[in-house]
Amino acid sequence: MAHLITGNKFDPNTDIPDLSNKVYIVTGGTAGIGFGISAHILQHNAAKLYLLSKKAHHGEEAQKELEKFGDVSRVEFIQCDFESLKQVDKVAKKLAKLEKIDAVSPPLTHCTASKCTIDQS
Amino acid sequence: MQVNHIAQFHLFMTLLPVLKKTANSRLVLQSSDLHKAAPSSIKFASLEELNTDIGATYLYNRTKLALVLIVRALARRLKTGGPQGPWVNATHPGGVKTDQPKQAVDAYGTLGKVGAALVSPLLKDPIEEGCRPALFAATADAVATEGIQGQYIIPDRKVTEPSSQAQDEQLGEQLWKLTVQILEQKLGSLPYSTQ
Repeated sequence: MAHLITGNKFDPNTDIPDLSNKVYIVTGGTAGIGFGISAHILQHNAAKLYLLSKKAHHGEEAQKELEKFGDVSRVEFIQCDFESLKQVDKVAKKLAKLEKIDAVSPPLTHCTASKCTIDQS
Repeated sequence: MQVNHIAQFHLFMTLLPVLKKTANSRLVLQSSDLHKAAPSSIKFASLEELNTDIGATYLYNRTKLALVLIVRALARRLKTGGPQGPWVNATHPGGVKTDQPKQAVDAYGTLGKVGAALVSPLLKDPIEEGCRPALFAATADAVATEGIQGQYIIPDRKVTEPSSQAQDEQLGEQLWKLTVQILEQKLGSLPYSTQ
């Protein structure tokens, strides 16, 4: 196995391959770890990056911040509240029409106690 | 539970056909080592069980457990990734400085209150460090060449065993069944096969 030789190292700055022509979907990609993932994906030349998040202003801020990392014309923010199954359903069906998806990475971690019940909407 | 698991399940299952026709595609679910602290009494038997308040910490641990169980259940259904289907894995980011206070607990691997302010100098930067396992799982060729499927990956790129609870196949299948049941209840017929 390769990692026995290289050790347990993965530096996103140098070890991510060129992502040209690849399409990524990152949920919660506007802040925290999700943003970190988005930044590196954009930096490595992804053709398209969809960011799904609940708050539209987070999306706008993220797109501004992502300018430092690459071509933000390739970034599309989709507002999606993951507490609403109906919204998720709508967004999912829209994204299912894409020709290709190279990775889906959902680092969502928001879960306060009061919200941890299944919604009624 | 909703935000972390059921909605994500619906999203990735709806997208699965596109992932399947995209060679060497990836699905990465961000779990946490805190899945190991989930209560042993978890059965994923019913919606009532999910809606019972077991406290914020256990709720978090349980959702992180669910993500590992689901990745393994999905991997069982997909067999190998590659040209036919996606490589699906779960990750643990390590202790990372984000708004998520539970990340502070991740850094110590303990329950109980840990002031985020206290630990924040020790937490990793999400852009430099916390995203490494997820980025590895999402982009590295090694995932395909080494056949990393249905695994649990900790920083930077280390495949390791999740808890025995997370490896419980029966529990995973029960969770799958319950998830589908809840989704069907909420959305009616689902646009994907749920087997």
